[in-house]
Amino acid sequence: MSDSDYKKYECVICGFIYEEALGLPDEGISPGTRWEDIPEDWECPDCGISKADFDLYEE
Amino acid sequence: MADSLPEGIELTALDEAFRRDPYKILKRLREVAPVYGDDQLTRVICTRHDDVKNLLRDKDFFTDPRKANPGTFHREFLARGDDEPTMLMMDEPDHRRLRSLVTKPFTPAAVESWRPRIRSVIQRILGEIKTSEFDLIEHYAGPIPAVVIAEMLGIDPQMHAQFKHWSSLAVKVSFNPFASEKELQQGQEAVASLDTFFLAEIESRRKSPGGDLISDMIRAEEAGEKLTAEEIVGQCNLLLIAGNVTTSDLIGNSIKALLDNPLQLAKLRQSPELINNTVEEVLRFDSPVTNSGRIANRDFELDGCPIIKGQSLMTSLAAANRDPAVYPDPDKFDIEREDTHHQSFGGGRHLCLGAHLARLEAQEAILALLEKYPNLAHSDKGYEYAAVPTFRGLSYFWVSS
Repeated sequence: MSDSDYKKYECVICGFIYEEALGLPDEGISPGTRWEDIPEDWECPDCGISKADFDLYEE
Repeated sequence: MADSLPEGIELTALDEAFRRDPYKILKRLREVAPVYGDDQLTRVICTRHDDVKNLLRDKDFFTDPRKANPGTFHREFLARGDDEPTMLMMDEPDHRRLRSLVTKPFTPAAVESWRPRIRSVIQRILGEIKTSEFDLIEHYAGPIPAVVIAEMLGIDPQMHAQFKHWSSLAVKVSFNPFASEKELQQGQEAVASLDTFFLAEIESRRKSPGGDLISDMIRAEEAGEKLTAEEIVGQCNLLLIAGNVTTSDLIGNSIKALLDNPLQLAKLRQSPELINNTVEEVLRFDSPVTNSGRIANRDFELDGCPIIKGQSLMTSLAAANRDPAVYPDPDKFDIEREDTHHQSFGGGRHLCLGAHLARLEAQEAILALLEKYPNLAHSDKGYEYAAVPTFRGLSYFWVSS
């Protein structure tokens, strides 16, 4: 599995982008954590919306 | 005996003392009664940062004012009888459907692609200012958002003046539950004119689609769902109403904060790369939108205060943004403040759709104005805050160059 496999997910409400490659170390989510491995009750750090309201981010 | 706490209208911009210094009043409320039952306007006002943040982000609270109990602020003042609310106050699943169909043009990346065009709109508007003394609101902060939205919607430049006129009449009544009969009537006529106008624009885009927002909305499709013409009209109106005076107020409040704090102004002139943090600090320090409502969908307790299902909750964004429990020296305007996070765009699924656009417009407007006028200063003709509840902004603000 290479780095280019890492995806990004965008919050549809506020535009915050979760990058699998970077994770969210401040929240205990280590770099490389896949989207599906993030807990379902996780919330967008910027606006509080639920994980379900994120879309795959296509550049 | 302690002074009684202000209530009702005294806690809104309709009150002169509140307009003069809302923060002093809100500070007292936060200290003495952070979860405050306002019996006059029948709502519970919350002023602590953490309470405000949590209420805004609660996934289950309602925003549809029809769900509030009879006699409450939401039901009596914000509901339009039994009519469906706009997206602003709609609940799930309807809200998500509408919102998801308009998200793409407002993402940070999409908005960023508008920066050059917004810059040129601002330069055009600046170019029309010919006097050394002028009202910043009438000649600058007022027109910028209206023209930007008109351009985004692809409206013929010849119609811009008419469009701005209808917009300002419609805005006057949309968020002001205390508007006069005359204002209400003018507002309703303006909304009717806008409806007719937008329907015609939609028809014309269907025949020749373009790269504008109306064409985007016609094309938008999510999971097989599309927007009806009426829904597109509704969204256009909402963009107009929600994106106009708010952004003008942000620009006006920014310039005022800078002129009132000369050291900060000097710092920004010296280091214009501080502009992003400056705008965030203005949003925290003097938010254009001062409160945001929710309706309790269940009985619960807030800081020991019982809240019943259907109760009108009013979060004070202005108070949350200056909570000393969160911000060191909260009443200081500091463009280099490390933590400028704020509640000014709300939170949760109703977080302001236009947040990035507002930020971008303010960033560009502030820098362009300061560049053109190196000696910008308050003018003796003064300024005045508008008496519109929920909004904090200047109805006029004279400056000299």
